[in-house]
Amino acid sequence: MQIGKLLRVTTAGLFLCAGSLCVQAEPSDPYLQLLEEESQTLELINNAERLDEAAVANATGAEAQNTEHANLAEGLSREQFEQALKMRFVGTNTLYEKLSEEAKRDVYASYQRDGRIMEVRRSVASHL
Amino acid sequence: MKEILSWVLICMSCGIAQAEDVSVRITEDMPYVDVLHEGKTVRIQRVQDEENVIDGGFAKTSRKCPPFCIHPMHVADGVETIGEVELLYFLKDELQNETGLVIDARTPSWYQKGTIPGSINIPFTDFAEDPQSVKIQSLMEALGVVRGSATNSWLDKLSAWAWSAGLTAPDEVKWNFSKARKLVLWCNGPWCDQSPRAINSLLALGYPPEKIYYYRGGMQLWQIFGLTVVLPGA
Repeated sequence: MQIGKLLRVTTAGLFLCAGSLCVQAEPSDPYLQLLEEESQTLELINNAERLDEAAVANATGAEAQNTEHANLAEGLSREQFEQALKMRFVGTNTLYEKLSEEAKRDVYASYQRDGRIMEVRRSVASHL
Repeated sequence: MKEILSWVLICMSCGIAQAEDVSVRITEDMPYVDVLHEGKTVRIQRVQDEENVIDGGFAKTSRKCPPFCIHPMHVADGVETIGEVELLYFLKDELQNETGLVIDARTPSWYQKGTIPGSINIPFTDFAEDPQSVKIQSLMEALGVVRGSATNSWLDKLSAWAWSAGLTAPDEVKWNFSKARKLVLWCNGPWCDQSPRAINSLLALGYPPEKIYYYRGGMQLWQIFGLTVVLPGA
């Protein structure tokens, strides 16, 4: 008797769950439909980080956490570029300052092609 | 070789930068907050690039209203509306002590594009299920709610057992909210109705309003302040 009732409850539950999955797959509520349409207009949030690369507290430092995807402003003069490195990317700047004049010119040229800090770092590293 | 040097450079940069103060802080005495997200510690802080601006979907100023109308500060009687700093303290204290949960009440298609670290995704539609459904039962359990009245007498326990065994009618079920967790619910921002709907469904289920907080700013304001966002399940 009890087992029969339990089975009925479980079956009803399964039907409810299955029903809710159907609702999610094909929203019949106009609000849900508009929500889904609106969500399609949104790409990944621009500063969203994957969990394995995110600002994991004990693994990375402030610079890496915040500027991995950062760009240096476009069109900086060599002097402004060096000033920006000095102010914002202390670690990269420390190594940049050890480079020869020719290597620094190359790094500056690579920044002009691609202003992402990751590219600037690669360029600095390639001249070490 | 160049690859190795790149790594060394990047790691050295991290080490040097770590010693520096965070220049764009959350508050004067709060440079960042570390939270647990999907088993990993994630640091919430603001984008340090002072030139950074938001773009994409959250830079939009106008959406059709209805349904994307501006919501008032007051969402429901007894439910407190909070801002970013209060949410961060909640993450630091209540979430860490496991006395609270932060719920991203948006549908999965929004959640997948980035969420506030420390949040779990329970779409608002889940709260609107039949109160007697298995889904609601397990949802309530996850929120620390148990079957039975607050007195939790032997009669209540018997009644709860009788319901689970299918011996009593569903409308006799009572919830015991005495150990219910404090909840912060949020969605896309002041123009979003998803968390207000979830809050109203929770209240209809009897959830105590004093245990519910509404982060009205949502992802919109979180973005404006350049706070850390994570992609779930990556």
